[in-house]
Amino acid sequence: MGEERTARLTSLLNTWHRCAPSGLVTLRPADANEVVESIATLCDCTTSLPSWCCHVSPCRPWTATSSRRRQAWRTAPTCLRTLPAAPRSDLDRFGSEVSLAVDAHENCSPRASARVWCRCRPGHLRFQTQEYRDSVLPPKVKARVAVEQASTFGWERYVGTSGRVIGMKTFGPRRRSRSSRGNLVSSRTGWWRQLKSSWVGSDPWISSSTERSPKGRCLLRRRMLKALAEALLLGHRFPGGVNFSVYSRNASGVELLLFNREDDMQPERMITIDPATNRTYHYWHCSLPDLQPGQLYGYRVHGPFDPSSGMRFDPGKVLLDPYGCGVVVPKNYSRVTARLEGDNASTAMKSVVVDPHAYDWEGDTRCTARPPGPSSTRCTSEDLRGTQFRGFGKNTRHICRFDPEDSISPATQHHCRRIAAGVPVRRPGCPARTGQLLGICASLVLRAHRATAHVKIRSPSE
Amino acid sequence: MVKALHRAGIEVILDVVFNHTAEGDHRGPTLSFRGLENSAYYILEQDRSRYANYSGTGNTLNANHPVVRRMIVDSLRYWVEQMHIDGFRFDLASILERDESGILMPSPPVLWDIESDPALAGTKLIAEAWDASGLYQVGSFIGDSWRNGMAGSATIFAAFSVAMRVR
Repeated sequence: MGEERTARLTSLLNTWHRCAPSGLVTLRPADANEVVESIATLCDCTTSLPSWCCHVSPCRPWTATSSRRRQAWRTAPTCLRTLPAAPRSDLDRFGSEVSLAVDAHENCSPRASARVWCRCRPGHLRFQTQEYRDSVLPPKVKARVAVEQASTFGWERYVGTSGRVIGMKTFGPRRRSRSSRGNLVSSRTGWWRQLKSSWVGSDPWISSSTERSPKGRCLLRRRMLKALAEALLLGHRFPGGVNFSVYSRNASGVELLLFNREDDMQPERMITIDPATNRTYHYWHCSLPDLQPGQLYGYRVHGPFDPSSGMRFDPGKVLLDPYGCGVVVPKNYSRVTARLEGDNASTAMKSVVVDPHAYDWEGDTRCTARPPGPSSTRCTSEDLRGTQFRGFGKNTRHICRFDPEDSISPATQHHCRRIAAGVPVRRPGCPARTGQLLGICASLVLRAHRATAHVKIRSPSE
Repeated sequence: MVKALHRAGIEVILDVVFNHTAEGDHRGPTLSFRGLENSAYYILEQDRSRYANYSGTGNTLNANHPVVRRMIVDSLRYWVEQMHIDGFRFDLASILERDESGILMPSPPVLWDIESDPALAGTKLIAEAWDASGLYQVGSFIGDSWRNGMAGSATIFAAFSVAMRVR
């Protein structure tokens, strides 16, 4: 459904009108009043409402006068009701979007429906009211795809983090062999294949009916997971699954290994990451639903071993995830086997899936969330210059506001070590912020990283 | 532990080592970075088969490579947002000023990334302003808010010299 404005548009619409598939009702109103009539026709359709609707903004004021028209306007679906409020828009490229919509509709499952919003300049939407924006892009529909003939810049704010923008991302000569990313949206099917490869399911549009059914929710969740994974490229845990992602530019293949036990000879599962579908630029990624925190994993990376060109791939070694939040060291961990040739699955360290959100902070806030400004709990620049003395254990240093030699007795030092270690203080009359009274304003924790056995460095001549 | 320290009114500053890894020199084990993308994660010598050793441990992290840079900032963010850490002390921080061939950069991206990251605003950043190959920058460490300063006061059990800033 569209409104004719230019001669070019008229010819386009006429062509499309002739080529429309059977069973599709095509309305081609010419001015605002005819739009009203067409809406009334739509409302009179007893069979079903249109499953998709292509918006083209009218430029003339709404002139509904008759009662039938007003009635039609009241009963029209919300998406149609937004027509008169739509902004003036340049419709030079109108036409290709309609074929995209037909494609999408053909490829979607019967229960899902697609909505297409045609805009040559997405910026228009910013100046509209929230109501209008919500009606054009309902907040509930998260599966959004923007197809842009030129640069994709600016569309992100409309498709959101879970959406996807297809368009020109690189400059240079067009690749003819494949419809890969970075190309113009030229062929009718090219963009669709591109889209399909980037989503898990077969239909990227998720309607409200899909969202309601349990199966649909599951699909939606998986797709959201996948989209988020692509957006973040991080190994993080989401509700319902874990996303794995690792950077490697020159690798020829990456396998994700899932282990049951830390000293297993063989992984429980081995997932070969398919570069065609699960490699985005140089990030190899995959999302696995139904994994739990505590899962042990590692990577096996294939590629050339050629030190003279800086490449030292070794498919025999189980590799830790640089973004892994936890590391488990098996009892028979061996640094030597990691240096020699051959498989070291049983003696290698493994990464662990961790869910940091599970920890109960009991009201404790991170420093960036605390109100700004001078606070008694904050140490200052001068404090940091101050004296340090040994804290609890051998891996901490306390930074004090005064010289501990003068004023802290060994008994007090012991006492503040107990506080710092989290030992409840039972001394009567002891205030909550004991650390401050004792002059400690910060505690420096050393060696946060996982350290292996002591590394003996030999001189290069050795 | 962090929760208990915060309750006692003590902030927690983490010692982070973003200058080398446990994989040692060219004869070392393959644990992670070396087998993932050796030339991205490490500063290599000119012949590409040896590792530059500015840290005194056999290798040097290529901190100003875009991917490594992002990893460092992501790691700091994780410590601040998920683990409620209040500040960091960077071990051999001067190495973070070197580029992929080991040359000092006038405006190292990784330092400016750390300094300007909104998620890290308000954290204390303390730099150990030298490295193991003779670079000594105490008082001249790069960065606006990594304030130049010398704080090498003698301590009871350990001595740290710090150039620090407090936002």
